[in-house]
Amino acid sequence: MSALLKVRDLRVRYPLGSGFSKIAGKQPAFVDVVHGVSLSIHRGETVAIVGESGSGKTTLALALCGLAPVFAGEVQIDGQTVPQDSKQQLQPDRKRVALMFQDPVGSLSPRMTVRKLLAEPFQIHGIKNQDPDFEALQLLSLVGLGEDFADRYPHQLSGGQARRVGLARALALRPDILIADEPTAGLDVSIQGEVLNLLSHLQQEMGLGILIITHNLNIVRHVADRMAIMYLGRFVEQGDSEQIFRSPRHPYTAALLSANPSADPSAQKQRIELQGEVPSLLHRPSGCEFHTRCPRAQQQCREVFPALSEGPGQQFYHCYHPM
Amino acid sequence: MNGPVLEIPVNGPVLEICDLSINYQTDHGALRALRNVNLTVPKGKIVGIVGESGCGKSTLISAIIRLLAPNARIAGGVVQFRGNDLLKLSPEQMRNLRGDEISMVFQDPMTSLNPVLTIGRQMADVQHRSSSSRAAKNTRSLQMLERVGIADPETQLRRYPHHLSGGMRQRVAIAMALMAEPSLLIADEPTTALDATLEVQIIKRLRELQHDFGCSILFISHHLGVIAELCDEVVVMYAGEVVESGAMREVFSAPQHPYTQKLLDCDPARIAQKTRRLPVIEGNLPSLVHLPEGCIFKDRCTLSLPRCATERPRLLGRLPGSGQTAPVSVSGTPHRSACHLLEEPA
Amino acid sequence: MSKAQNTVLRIFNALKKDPLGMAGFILVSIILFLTVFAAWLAPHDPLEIDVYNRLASPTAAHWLGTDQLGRDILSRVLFGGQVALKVSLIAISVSMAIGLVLGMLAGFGPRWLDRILVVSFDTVRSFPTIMFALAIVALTGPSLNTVIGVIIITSIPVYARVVRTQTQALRERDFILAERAMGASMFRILRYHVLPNVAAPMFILASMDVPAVVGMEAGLSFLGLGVSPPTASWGSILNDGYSYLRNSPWPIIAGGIPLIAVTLGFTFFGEALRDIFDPKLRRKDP
Repeated sequence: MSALLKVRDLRVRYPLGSGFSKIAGKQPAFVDVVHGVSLSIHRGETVAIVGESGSGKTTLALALCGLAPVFAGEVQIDGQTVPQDSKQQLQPDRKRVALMFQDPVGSLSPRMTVRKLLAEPFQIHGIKNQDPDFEALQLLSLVGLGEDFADRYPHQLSGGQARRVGLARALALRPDILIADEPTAGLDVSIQGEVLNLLSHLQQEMGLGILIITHNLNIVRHVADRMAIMYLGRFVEQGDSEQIFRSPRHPYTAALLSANPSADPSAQKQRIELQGEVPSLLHRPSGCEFHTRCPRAQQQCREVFPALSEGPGQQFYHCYHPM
Repeated sequence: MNGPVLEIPVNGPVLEICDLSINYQTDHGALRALRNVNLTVPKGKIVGIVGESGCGKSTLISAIIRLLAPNARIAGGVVQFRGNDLLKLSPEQMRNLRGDEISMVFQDPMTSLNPVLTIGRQMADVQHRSSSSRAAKNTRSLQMLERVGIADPETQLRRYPHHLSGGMRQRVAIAMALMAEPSLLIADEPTTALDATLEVQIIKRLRELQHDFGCSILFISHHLGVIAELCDEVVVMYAGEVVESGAMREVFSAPQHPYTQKLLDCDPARIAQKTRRLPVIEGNLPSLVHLPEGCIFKDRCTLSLPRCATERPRLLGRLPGSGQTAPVSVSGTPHRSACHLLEEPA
Repeated sequence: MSKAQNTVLRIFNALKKDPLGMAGFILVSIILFLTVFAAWLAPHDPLEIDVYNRLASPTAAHWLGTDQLGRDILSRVLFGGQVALKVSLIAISVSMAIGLVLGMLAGFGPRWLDRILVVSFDTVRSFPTIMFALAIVALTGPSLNTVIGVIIITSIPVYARVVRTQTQALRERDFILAERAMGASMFRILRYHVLPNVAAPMFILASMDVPAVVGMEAGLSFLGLGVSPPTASWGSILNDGYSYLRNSPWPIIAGGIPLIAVTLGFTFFGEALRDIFDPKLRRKDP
């Protein structure tokens, strides 16, 4: 089966600062926030991108939705190359790719009622619906909200409810691909399950390909079929999520997995503690970006970025000295 | 100049909150944010408060440091800090305690650091009570930065907050909070804004510092894993009440209150088997303006009894299934919960 | 309850707790009432000349006395209020509308457009208003329309700059990004998502701007650059009174008091509105 979404060697580059500091040579003229990322998503599949803040995962999501400049690389949807506009931004068919934002309340226009917010996707794409009200209520019930929510304003919604409205908006035009940026950030544990259950329910019903961007490893383990671990704009490891949780190969993945605090007091585990700070994107380390914090780094790691290696069971990683 | 000196007894718990109730005046009536809250922070212990949004964590901290919103009313109760009722102190006395005997670390260190002053200047300012020389204060700042694990502290002292990464800023905030060697450190979600690898660094550091300084820590978090990792004791709050408290290991391995059980069940980290259907707690928080009768959790509880609808359970240490008062457990901390079920035969 | 009713109720409740704002509200209401119904309330024709009764002190027939031509000052003040409010209403609404559009374009559009607009705003603002008005009047001759035109041109940059700053802050917000992700056009984003969020503070600014515009009209009319005689304006009443100050203080008092009342009324009311609607100053319930 061919992939629904295919990303090949994508780079997102932002220009930096004013002309003067460029001339003065104090900082580089640009910064690569996403540094050559390849990925594919199939219909009905959930892929998670895991990484810490500043790793470029949100920028990747924005780039796929045409909201960040793409410097190099190719994106295909159903085998068709997505065109770029004059500002090097991708122009995907917005009816097919939908984005769910991280900040549930902040991503809803504050002076619109839920009803108006839900009618928006149709109006934007000039789709005349027979009965906009019916359509809005239909969408609300799709995400498990009652009719009485239709006339509320975003600030009258709780985090979980706003998240559902955001999801309803994203799904209004029946997209094929849903990109969910931190779908559970800021939600209480008791509610986070609701949102994730809803996502997997709708995925089965609509055959969505879902890309989840998160730093919460606990949910990735349950919802993702495949996962990619991002560090300073690169995927250092990707593959089947169960396989990666069982035996991570890249030292960064291993450290990240072991750092995850567990609420089970009897579960004592061997923790890999990383030294030092995450380097700045402005001063990207040479060779393997992780060598500044890696307990296994050798001279070779400081010089040349390691090529992609394949482990057993569809596991790919960039490391000379895998675990 | 420094107000009357407070008498500070050496033994006993550092912080003891008894029966504290706080209301907010709103347009719709009194919102009863905290009701009869009891909490003890023993000397040299780390106590965690667990609870979801709306449980009253933030109101509780504001009450301890006496920085409540203007529409808040203290409806009753005592906040004993080393033998003094904080609620009765004059604003002057309270100001002298804050930052000296009680310090705070916030979720976002940017809010507590002044963006236009260097780290060094701010760390010197924190020592305004000390009469030592500028050089001595500087040395002390350097020592503190080293203690919290900041590399090259001389350079960092000359930098501004926005130069530092999130993890470094939070460590600077901790260094500043511990500068006066307080007897109580209140940490309000200090690791929530940080990534997992930095989170464990901070937790480990807090544990070491607590051990070295011998202070007590009141640690607020909604992250059950972090609480389990760090705390000796835990207090579970729901909708303005304490529903369970006790030694962390006992509460987390044998939770007594249905809310605690459900909360722990919901944590995906505790579900070993991969699943697409994650557990949730059905229902919503009750209105705190029109408070329901009986147990506050009864509407979401799957085990509720007839008496739960009418009679409010008290926070008691009981042996499950008998209703008899439990003997103090091995850890020395009583395991208490506010639930009628414990009195029913299993 | 509808949203509009809700807003009115909220303003009223807030005013009850703010005596200065309430005073401003009452003052503004009185001024609006008196000027709107000037034709019915005025005891005399403001242009009616009574040469036997010049520069009279207040009497039962002429509550505020008469001017150098024996015209009833009270009637002239009431009708002068109509001129003042007409000028401020037209000038402020037109400059606000243009300012909103230009400000949003500068704040949301491409960078080159922003640069051009900002330079032109600054250029207009750098002229002293009176000099600018004198220059225009020298070209076109004194008239009320010239006054309105001058005020519009000099006020547009004030509104546009505020709108531009707010739009720039809004464009980085997630909900605007969310609209762009859905493929919304720039026009749609500005019309439905930026405008409602920048318009509310504009009305507060406009309310506080009324005294300035009224003062400007009065000033220009005082200099003889505004209304042409014999039309009454607060400025022309002051000018008439100024020449005969030794004979009678009443024209000056009568022309000055409404200016002070307008300034205080609209400023207090505007400040009260700002306290109610500015989310940064609003006290949050927990």
